[in-house]
Amino acid sequence: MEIDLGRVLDALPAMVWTAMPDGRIDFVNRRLSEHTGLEVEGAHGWDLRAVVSPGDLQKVLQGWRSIVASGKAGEIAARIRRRDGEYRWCLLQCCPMHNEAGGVSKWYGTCTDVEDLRRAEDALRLRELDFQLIVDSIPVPVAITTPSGEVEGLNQPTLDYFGKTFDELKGWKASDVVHPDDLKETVAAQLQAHQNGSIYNIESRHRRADGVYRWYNVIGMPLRDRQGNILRWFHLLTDIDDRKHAEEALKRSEIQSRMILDNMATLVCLLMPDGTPGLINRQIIDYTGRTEEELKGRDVTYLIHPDDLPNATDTFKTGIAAGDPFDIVYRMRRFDGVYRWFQGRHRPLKDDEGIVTGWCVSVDDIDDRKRIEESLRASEKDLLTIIDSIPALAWSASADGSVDFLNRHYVEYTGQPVEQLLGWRWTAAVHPDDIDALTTAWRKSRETGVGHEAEARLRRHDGEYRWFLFRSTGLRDVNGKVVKFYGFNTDIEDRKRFEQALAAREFDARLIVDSINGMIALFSPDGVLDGGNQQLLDYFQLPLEEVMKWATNGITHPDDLQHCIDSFMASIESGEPYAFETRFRRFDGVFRWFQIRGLPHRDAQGRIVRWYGLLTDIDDRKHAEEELRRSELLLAAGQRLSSTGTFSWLVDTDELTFSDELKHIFAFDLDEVVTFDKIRGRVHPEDLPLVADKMAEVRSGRENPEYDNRLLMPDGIIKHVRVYGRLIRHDNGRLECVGAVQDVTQSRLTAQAHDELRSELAHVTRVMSLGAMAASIAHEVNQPLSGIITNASTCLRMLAASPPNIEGARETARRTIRDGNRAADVITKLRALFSRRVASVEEVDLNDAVREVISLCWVDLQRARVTLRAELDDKLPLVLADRVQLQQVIMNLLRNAADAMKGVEERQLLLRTEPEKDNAVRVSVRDSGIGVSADNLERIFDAFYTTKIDGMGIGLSVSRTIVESHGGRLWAEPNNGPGATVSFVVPALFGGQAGTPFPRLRYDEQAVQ
Amino acid sequence: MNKESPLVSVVDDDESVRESLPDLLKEFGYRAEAFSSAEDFLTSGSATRTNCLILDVAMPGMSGPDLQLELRRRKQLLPIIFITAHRDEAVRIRLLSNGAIECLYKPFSDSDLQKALAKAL
Repeated sequence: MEIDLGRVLDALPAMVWTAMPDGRIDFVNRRLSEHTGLEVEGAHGWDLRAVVSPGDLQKVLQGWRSIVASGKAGEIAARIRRRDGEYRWCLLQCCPMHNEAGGVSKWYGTCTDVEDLRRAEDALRLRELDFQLIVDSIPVPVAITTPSGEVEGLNQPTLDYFGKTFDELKGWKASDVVHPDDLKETVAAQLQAHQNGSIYNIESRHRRADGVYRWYNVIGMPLRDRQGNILRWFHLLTDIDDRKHAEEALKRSEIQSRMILDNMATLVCLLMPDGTPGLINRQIIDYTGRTEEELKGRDVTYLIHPDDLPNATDTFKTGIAAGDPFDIVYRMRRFDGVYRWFQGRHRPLKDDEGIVTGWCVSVDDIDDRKRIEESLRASEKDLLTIIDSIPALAWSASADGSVDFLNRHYVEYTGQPVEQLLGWRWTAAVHPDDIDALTTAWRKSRETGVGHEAEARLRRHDGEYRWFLFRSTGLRDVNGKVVKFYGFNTDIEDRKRFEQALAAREFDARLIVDSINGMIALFSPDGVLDGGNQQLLDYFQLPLEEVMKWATNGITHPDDLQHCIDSFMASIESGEPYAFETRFRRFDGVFRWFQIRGLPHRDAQGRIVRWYGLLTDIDDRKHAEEELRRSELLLAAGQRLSSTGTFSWLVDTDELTFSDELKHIFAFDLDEVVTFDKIRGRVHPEDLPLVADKMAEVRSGRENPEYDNRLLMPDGIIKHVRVYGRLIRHDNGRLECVGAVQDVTQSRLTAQAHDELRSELAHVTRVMSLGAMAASIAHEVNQPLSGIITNASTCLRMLAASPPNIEGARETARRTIRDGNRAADVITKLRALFSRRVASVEEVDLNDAVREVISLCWVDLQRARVTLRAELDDKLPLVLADRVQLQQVIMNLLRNAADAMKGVEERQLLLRTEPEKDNAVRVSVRDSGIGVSADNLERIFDAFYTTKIDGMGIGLSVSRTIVESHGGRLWAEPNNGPGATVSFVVPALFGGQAGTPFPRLRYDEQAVQ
Repeated sequence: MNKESPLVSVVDDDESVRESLPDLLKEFGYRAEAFSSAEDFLTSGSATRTNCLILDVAMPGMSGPDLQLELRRRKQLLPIIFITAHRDEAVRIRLLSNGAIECLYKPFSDSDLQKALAKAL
């Protein structure tokens, strides 16, 4: 039936083709044609070449040929070109249709696109390969078993591990690859799993190739198909040996930890990352009285005190979520129902990536601490009470400086409520001028954490500002960080006032110091000069640094330097004030004396903080002192020398002061107190009335002139004293008698001695004149004696001559007798002249004396043919003299004059007396003789030169002595004409002249004119 | 006496000396002359003639020593024998040191005089 086969074939959902018995494809259905895009063309049929991939063409042709040849069904796989050009695998299947003869009448075939299938197959194959590779490359043994448990496949690692073949391992159950101890379990587990169809997971030991059993985790997983039937079982063997050992170790350590935990004194628990309890140590268990399961399982919030629960819960939740350490403080209920304070410290355990793996919680019993805190708080309250009663303004501030507490006084002082002072508001009470300094100091204090001190005025409730000392200290925690500030403000108003006054005084003092007429030097406690007033600097005109080196730079006098250094340094060491005198060099180089006085200045503890030195210029005083000392010495010396002592007598108190010399005179000890009784003890008894009178006069206010009296010393010595006194009336009406007492004993004695001496002298003079006289006598006598001897000698020689010269002898004898008489005469006269006479001093009228002499010498003068003329002044004053002695002088002069005129014709002698100026009397004898040469004017008075006297008389030297002892002088001068004039002058009697009975010797400088 | 014997001059203001001494000198065998003052002696010119001088020390006017000085000044060197009634050793020494042959104290013995004269002449 040739139903439209073609249409049927086209309708078939397959690619169909037919071919002639020779193999020529003569029909392709629409699908195939669409697939390939080729139509069948003609009788040649399908050109296979056009559709088959060149690579498979050969195969296809050959395959087709063989099929055709065989006449049997067959199939060929090849890549066929699709319409879009892609070659796709197709399976060409054909079936011959046989005719009655058994031959092929037609070939019928299909072309099935098996590309996807192929691909899938390939993929599968690849996957299978892969799988195999994978499986073989799984480092773990993998076993595949049938649902019944037969080993179907083992990967390479399995084989390698066990070291057995596949076949060997197939019968594993019976073998010893599984550890005998675990075998049963393993089999059981597997069986169960197979039955249940569930994954089984067991751990068992498997023997390795080297015989060592290692732990393996065997996981069996069923492979199900879509229906859920188990197709296969896959077994993974994971080597967990190390893990097992680790697990065991861990378990051991866990046990240990457990033990540790349990033995720790604290309550410790470990939490899961989410906060659920993991591990709870024994302490917790013991404390709470619950079991671990209870604690882990049930809600444990009942353990926490209801009051603390909300906060605890919140904190816990937040903390767990945050993953950072946190603490909670709460009361936990003990097994006996008592709540104790605990601090739960939660610390997260983190892995390397920082993810929380758990929490370690330490729950510390802080109950005691809490109690302490409470008592502390209580004591804080007490403290607060104390603070409130401290009489100072106390406050505290937090670390940032804002005040958080002020004590009661503060509040009361400012009169403001506390709120208005807290924080920073307290600054409002501070005086505007002081605020800046105060806040600066406060800020610095906060920054450094070091307490501060500052002074500022704080306004009192009544508006008055008073000075306060603001002091703060910082309270540090254990790390040294300041957590709080405590402050104290003390009222220093009074002190401040005092300071201001002091400052003012210091300023004044400075002014004073600079205007003091003294130099001030300031020294450090160890004696270094560090300051001086203006006077000091002006004096030296050196910078202070130079003056500092006073010990070395020469401004201190070298002679005083050692003493200066010693005194000063001794004081510095001992702390005792110093005082000494030294010389300092002024700017102009002059050294002046200074008195240095130093005082130490001490602080409240008594330590020396400063030395003050005052230098007073005492140079003038020093010189004055020296002058005074000298004058005192002079005075004392004077008193001593003059044997004069001074006294002071305060009349109304009868207080007596004797000078040292006066005490000496009275033979009192120098330290004896002089009294009137003592004085009376010294006065000579016979003079006591006199002295008493004098004293009475003074007492009645009358001055008495000087008077003499005697003192009788204890040893019987009599002293003559002359007393001079003066009355002084003081302003206060007091009467003082000051005076001097001169010991005139000596002078009196001297005078007496002098008198005696005088008379002695007079006598001695006479005696001396006797000497001279003797010389003269000798001279006088020797002359005739010499003549006698000479003549006698001559006489003898004359008589001895032959013939004897009788006449000559007679003559010599005659001369001898004459000379002998002459000698006798001289002696007689001289003896008569020379009789010891005491010098009798009387008032002498020289004119009379002269007349007497003239009469005495008249005869001799006559004989000498000398013309004598006398000019005697009738107004001649009297002279106090020894009459005879002066007469002798006059006689001598007359004789000398006569002698001088012997050789001259003109023999004129003039004797004059006249008054002389200055109350004296002059007697002069002028001759006209041979005169005296200028050279001899003095020499004639030499004893040596004394010329012979003609019989009587004394030499000029003796004359001069006599005249001079009368207080006069005797001299010679040449005349304008011939001859010389010898004159003498003696003092005249002056009315009432007090003095010594005998005029003193006066040296005549004006010797001869 | 064939040769003229030495002339001795005596200068003394004392008359008895002037009387007695020359005789003694003559007895000694000298010629003698006497003067009452040094001035007389000088004016006499005897200074050049005489061989020796016996000179009184103390005389009014020119003294013995003065004469000695004067003679020296005049370069009339004569041996001088001083005679004096004044016993003063210091003076004697001075005179001797000034060149006097001798200084005799009155009264002197004739033998002393003789000795001195021998020395002088």
